[in-house]
Amino acid sequence: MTRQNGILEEMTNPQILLIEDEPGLVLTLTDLFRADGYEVETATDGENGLKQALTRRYSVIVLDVMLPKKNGFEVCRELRQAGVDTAVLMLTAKTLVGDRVTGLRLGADDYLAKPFDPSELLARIEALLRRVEKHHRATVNCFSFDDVQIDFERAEVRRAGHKVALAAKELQLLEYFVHHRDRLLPRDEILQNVWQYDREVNSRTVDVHVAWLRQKLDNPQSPKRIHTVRGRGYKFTS
Amino acid sequence: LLSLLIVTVVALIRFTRGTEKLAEMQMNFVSGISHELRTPLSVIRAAGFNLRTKFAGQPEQVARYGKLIQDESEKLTALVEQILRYGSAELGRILGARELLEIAALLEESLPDTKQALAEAGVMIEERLADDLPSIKADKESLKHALRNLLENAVKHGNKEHARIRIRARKIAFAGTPAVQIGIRDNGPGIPTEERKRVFEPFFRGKLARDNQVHGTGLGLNLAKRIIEAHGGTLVLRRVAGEGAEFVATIPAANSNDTAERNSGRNDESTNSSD
Repeated sequence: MTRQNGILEEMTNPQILLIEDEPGLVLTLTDLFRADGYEVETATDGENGLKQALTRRYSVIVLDVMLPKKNGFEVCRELRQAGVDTAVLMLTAKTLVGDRVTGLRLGADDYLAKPFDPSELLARIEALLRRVEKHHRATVNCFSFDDVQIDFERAEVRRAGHKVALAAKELQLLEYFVHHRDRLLPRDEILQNVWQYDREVNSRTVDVHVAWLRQKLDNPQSPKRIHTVRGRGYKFTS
Repeated sequence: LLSLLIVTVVALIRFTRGTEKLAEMQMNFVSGISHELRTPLSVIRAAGFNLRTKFAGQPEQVARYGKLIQDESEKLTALVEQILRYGSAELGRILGARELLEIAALLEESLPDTKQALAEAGVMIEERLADDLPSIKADKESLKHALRNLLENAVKHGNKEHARIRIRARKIAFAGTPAVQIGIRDNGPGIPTEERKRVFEPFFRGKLARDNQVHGTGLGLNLAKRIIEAHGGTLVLRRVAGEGAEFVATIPAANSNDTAERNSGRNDESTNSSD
């Protein structure tokens, strides 16, 4: 918990998804990350790892290459194809240059060969997190599309130069869309991250807020930016 | 002249293919061994780091990590032994001194773990050993290694939920002389027809094992076959109806001179002890 400007805010620890099939490494790395203050979830095969990475937002994914059911290269490629831009660190016993290049080309952000020094692994994860934060700060402060300009820091939105009044939740939802632009966002994920599963709200709340945002910033009859993906959720395209 | 040219081209193609195959096998070997070495080393390194920096004062974690390091070191030891044995076999030194051995005791010693530990891990062992099994004259450590490879193979590739290994041993006539036949059968998915011919090739690993990341170097079955054959026996993959795969080893029995020698040795011992 931290106190900022007199407001008590809940601090959440960075979350790591560890996709690794070797029980000894699952145990030691989970302990290592937790002792360093991370929240850790694990998956022991590629299929489950991919499923988890698609349904929940993690700060970093630590991904083994040689996994049962679906290998790490495939998991990484499918994550990127689905628009998930979470930082991926590949951890593997494959050391040939070709493997490293393949991993990085498929969208991995970093690569560490086994046997690795655990302190180097922690340092690389910290570096990835710093990079992600920087990227988010850079993209979030100001954003514009069509005739809409958003200044998240000042909580100001203008359309065709005129101020648009947005409620706090609408602004948060817009910020979430901008953060995760071009990615399919299931209603559950939006609820969890924008409303933090407030008991009073349900997926209908998301629909209503999306309708209001469309009315104010998009074309409600034929949305150009906030699209409904039937039966799955929403996608904000930039 | 034309036929000479054709023969030369064919020979060249064969030579190139042979070289390519050898290179591919060597690559598989390096990549397989590298993975098998790097993974336990990573676990040991991470466990050591956690112990030193996070859990030094927590006896439960120290015990848990101690066991983990021990297990991983044993995996490395087994791997090193497999590689060294393969190296010796390649140099033609496959067997050491032979001695008279009883199959039942040898099988017991060859299990990759104690029966209790296997049962705890969900592996059921069913043994059916005939009472009239003859003794064999064999290099104990090498043959134990061969049998252990077969038993480990059955554990690794057996049914993941309810692994059952059937071990049977009986006396048979082999090329007109008595022999012991040992069958080791698992209840896993079996070996696909297209892979049956290749299972004894060094470094060969089945598709299912590769896809499911089952640990292994591809040397175990090759070594088992070479060791058993060096004893004058055979190792074959038997066609079985239904689930699983069965490997059948046939090892010639010790001849009457060897048994007589042992019996006289026993008599001497009993004479000595009565003295």
